[in-house]
Amino acid sequence: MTPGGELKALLGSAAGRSAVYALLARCFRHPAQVEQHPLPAPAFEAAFEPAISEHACSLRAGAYWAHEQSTLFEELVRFYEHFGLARAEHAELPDHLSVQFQFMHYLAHLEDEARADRAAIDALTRAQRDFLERQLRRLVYAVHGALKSGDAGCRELVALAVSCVDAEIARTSRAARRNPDIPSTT
Amino acid sequence: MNVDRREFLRRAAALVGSLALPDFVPPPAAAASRARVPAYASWADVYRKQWSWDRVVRSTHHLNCWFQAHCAWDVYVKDGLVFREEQAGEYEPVNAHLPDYNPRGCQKGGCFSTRMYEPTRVTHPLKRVGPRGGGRWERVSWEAALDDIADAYLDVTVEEGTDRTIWDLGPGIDLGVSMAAQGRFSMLTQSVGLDMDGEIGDSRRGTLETFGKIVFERSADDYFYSDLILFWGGNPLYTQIPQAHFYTEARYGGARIISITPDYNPSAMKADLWIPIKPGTDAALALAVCREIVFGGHVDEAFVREQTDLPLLVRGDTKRYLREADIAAGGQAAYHVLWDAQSGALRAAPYRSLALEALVPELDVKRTVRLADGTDVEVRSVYSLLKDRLAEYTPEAAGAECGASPALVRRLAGEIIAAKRLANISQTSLCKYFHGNLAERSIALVFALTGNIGRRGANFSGFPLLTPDGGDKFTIPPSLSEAAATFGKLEPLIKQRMAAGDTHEMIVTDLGRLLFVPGNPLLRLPVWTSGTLFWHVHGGIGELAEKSESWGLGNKRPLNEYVEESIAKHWQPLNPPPDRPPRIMISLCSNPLRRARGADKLLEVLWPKLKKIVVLDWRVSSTGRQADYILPVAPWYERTSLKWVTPLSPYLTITNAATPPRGESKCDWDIIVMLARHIQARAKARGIGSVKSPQGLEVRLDTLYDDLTMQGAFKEGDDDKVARTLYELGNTHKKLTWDELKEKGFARFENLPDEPSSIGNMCEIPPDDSIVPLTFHVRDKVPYPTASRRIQFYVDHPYYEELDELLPRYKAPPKIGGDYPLVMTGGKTRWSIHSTWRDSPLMLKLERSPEPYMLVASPDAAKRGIADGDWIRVRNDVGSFATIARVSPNLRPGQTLMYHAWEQFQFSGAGDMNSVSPTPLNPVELAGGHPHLTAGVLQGQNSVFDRDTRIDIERLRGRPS
Repeated sequence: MTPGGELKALLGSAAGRSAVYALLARCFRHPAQVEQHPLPAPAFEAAFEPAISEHACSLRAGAYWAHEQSTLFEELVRFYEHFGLARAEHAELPDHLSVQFQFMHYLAHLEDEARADRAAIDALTRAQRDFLERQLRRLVYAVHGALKSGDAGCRELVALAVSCVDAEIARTSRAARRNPDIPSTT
Repeated sequence: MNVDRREFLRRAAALVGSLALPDFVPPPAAAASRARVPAYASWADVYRKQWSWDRVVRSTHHLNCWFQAHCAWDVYVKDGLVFREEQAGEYEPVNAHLPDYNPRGCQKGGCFSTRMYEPTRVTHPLKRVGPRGGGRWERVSWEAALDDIADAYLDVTVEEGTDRTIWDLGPGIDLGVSMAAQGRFSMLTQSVGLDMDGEIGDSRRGTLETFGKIVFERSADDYFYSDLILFWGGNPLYTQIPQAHFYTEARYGGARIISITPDYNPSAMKADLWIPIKPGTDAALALAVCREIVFGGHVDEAFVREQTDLPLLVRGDTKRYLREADIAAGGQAAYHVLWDAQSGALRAAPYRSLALEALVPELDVKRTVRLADGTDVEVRSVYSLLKDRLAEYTPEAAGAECGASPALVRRLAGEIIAAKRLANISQTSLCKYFHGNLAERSIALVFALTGNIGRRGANFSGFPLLTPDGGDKFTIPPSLSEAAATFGKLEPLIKQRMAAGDTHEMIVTDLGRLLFVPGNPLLRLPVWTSGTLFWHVHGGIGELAEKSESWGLGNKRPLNEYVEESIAKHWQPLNPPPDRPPRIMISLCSNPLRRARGADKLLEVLWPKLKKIVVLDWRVSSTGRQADYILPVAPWYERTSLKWVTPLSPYLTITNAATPPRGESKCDWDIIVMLARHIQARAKARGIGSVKSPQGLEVRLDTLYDDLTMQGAFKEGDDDKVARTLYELGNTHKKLTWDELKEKGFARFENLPDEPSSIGNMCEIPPDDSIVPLTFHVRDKVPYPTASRRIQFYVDHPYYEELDELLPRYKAPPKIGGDYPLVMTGGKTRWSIHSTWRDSPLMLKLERSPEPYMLVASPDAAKRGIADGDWIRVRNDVGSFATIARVSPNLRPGQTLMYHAWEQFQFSGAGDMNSVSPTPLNPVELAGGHPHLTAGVLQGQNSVFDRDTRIDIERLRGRPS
């Protein structure tokens, strides 16, 4: 099976999706915070830490947000709180790509656990689609567009994130079309 | 692992079934998954629950807003994050008549919650990788960073001396918790702090020359009592956002506003009369007004006789004041002499008090007197000499210099003469002109001649500062329990001076001066030195003045001769001396590569001398980019401290830690204490005990942490405890406890601070009325801290004689940078406080262009074929830079204006706005060995001059590479 096919297969189950999101969340944390990070710290910092490298692109949605930061934070925190997640004491900021992937990891994990509960799965599918549409897609595309690093690992990581998010948006949109109870995000 | 898709999938597959949420606290794992899935139909559902805050904290921003510092804010916190802030509109009315202070705050403070979370914030210690300025950094641990810095510090201190470590103290210093740490570190190690007041262009030299101090200012509501307000040397409606309403509200009381400025600036637009003058010609205008006052017979003689040196006599042979010792055997050398019209004889001027008692000093004196040695000399009163000088400043002559019509000069004089309560707003603009001291002296003369000093609504504007006075009691003694004994050593000296007639203000001011003379055996103190002189000598900025003889400065000798003489005679402080190059620089609340005029030279000359450059900051400033380490500082919502304010808004306003510091950030206190801990540990490990300072003081390195923390009484994490202690040690606030203050966020000063940087206000701080500085002099007749003990217009120092500045006069602006047709003026930007917000994307949206620009007068632009938005090159003999031209109809032809604080990295191509500003020293500021020109805290040192910078501009074809 090709890697593309394997990714598709992995994203085919809630457990697999949860695992993909978990790994993406890990990969977009600073290497010092993660064991066996796929990127060396200098490459990560040069690509994603604007405080360290003026050519770095930010992994924070706030960097690409044209409106008040508090409105961005509020929506993110509302999403997280709605599903029972409180912010950890030394957490990254709520708009960080890693945090947003963690949230998707959690929703997919809940979906996996609630596999027999249709109503819960519908709710979780709607939430994933909405969060992807309203937040995550915007951020991964912004990062993709702003990425200046020539490091192959960094570029591949961002490309993977875009692929996953695209695939997930397609999946949740299909689910919405199949189920008219899932309303539009707009 | 590599980031290839197959490896990614392999690792993802290994995570199936796991749950890892390092940035979240999930609901209890025991709960059924179904219970954990709430109803969710659409995104709107997440908005249904009412939003709530975890807490609302009173805090502020302890940066250098100076004239508008500070404002209490409600800071809204949720999930350990600051979401927003809102002005705290709870300032109580001072009385029913005066406008109140509500609300306080500007757009910069209103977006700090965004600024502090910008992606460029530094949250972990960063170490340079590759060459300085290469732009490559790596995160390192605190342990690694501080061990490396500690070892470098020990190497330098042991091998080269204690004075090789420099604290670059920027304008953001708080004189609170941060400075408590730095002050104790400096006191214990005899490392050197740079006094930045003159170096940032805030010297107010002419005010010092005239009043013996620079610090005195009213509360902003006092303007409500004025009937004529002069905006002269300030643009307050643009730069004092929270206070601007007081100036316009004064009109409700009938006040008129006259703006005197080259450009039609935002404050001029709101004035009743705008008097446009050429940049740097203020002294000519002021002296013409003085002439109208004197020759028109409008002098307030009672005030002038009592409060000023105008009746004092000056010897014609020596051009020095006549002293009692000159005329009588056994007479006092310190006593000045006047001619008493009542007795018709020479009399010593009152010394312990300004009160004249039975004396009636004659103002216009010119006579021959016999000295104690039998010789006859001609003496003249300062007033008599002044009349001669003023005679040449006819409205016609002055108008030809300053550009105002004679009729307008006369009108200004007429309005001033008619005013019963004259006030001015002079910020720190005039002192950025090379001859700004003369302008300040001349304007002060207007106020003195008309008696508009030290009265409610009538005052000359000095430099505003109000500092809580607990800092010295914390910083200087070995421990708090030893404070009384430490300061008790000074008691005999204080009693002796008081008995000799010195005032409390003089003594407190002199205690501040001791900071500049290291090695004092009586009292071990932190070491300060002149920031300007440090950059000039050690930083190489003096090299830029090599061509200064062609700039029309009016010096009688090469500039270096004055510098060398001043340093050799210890007239001006320079620590370390020229032959001891600095080796370590720690920047605290500072950004000298952005700020210092001619900063390119620092990189060329100073940087190679420095073995370690450490910047404490929460963002990567221009200086940070050229450092070896950037240590992440917690910004104001993440730490607790107190700070100076000004009488304009006399409310101590605290920062309050609303949230924990982000990442690994720490407050300044913690960082300095941790550094001391590492130095102590490394000293012990390396077998280093103590060293001697150049002056012979023992500096213990193996107990530095223990000594700095008072044997562990104030450790890392104790910033709140330190702030509480500083507050409780002070005498300025007794009504609120520290806990009550933290709750409220601000508290009006109750008493005049008893410390060098604030004592000069010399007035009460009434709870129910405005503040009127200099009251103790004018009402209570307490002598001024000048050589003559009066407001002094005659400065009998050799440099002043050599440069013909014994009396106020006008000198044409020099052509600093070369003979070019345009003058580059400047001013504070509205969209940042210094550089703190200068690269804030949010604030840059409010600028016409988000990158550096220069305002160019329409005729000058047209003459050069420059259109609005064109790229231009700005150049003169010392440098050049590129910027965008903004063509402005508001500027006077020949004037350009560059609002300040653009970071170096915001410019395109080589150079920045400081590259054309060589800022040569003014020799009169090198004077010393004189009672009130001696360097002291924030005064009496060299300053910088960028307002006389001459340039030309040319259109570029586009953005330079």
